[in-house]
Amino acid sequence: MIEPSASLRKLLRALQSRRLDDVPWAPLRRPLAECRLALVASSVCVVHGDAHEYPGVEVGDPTFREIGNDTDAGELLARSRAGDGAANFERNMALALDGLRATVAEGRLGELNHRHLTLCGPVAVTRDAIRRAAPQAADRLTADQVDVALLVPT
Amino acid sequence: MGLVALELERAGISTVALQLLHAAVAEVRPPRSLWVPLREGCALGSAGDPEYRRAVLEAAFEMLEDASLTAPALLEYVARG
Repeated sequence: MIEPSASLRKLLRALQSRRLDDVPWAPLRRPLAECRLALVASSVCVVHGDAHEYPGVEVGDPTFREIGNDTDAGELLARSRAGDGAANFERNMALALDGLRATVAEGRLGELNHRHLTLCGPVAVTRDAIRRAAPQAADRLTADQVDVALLVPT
Repeated sequence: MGLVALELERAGISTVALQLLHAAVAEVRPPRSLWVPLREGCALGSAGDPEYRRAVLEAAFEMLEDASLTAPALLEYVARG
């Protein structure tokens, strides 16, 4: 069994008083082969020529980054293989993109959204995550008419 | 990640979250969780194993399609022989 990190334990303690009894549930509205999917990954991908920096990783950063669907999974994997700490987080993003593209090619999934979202994983700033970042993510994907989201942890 | 899943579902977007930590699922209670019992950073297996990756994604898709599930749903990924 994997044990939670110190930052995640802090988050979980904060959540204990916020536990929801009513969990929202959105059933599929159409066959998966007709759905548009967005990936939400706890990664700290830095693309589009940004400096290769990972702000907030240690303390939790509730902000999102957008990753274009045309991002080269091989590039992300290459960074991951470089193994400089947080860069390893990009590995999951690369593998998920690669795998999802295969399901679209097979016709199992309709299409991928033009952008995907990443965040830095367990965020210690719980209130910010709940009140600002998560609704912002929902707003972006709703505007894109996304049907389905796959969430992949680090 | 579970917090994001809750917000997306409220917005009408169906979600399925791969999970590595049982503790996180218990507290956050995301609507659909697929527990993948691997080490951190490896929810989709290794880079050289596309078959495993495809199988995990298929299990996640099947959760989305399963109309019998109710929230919060947690299934464990079991590799198929």
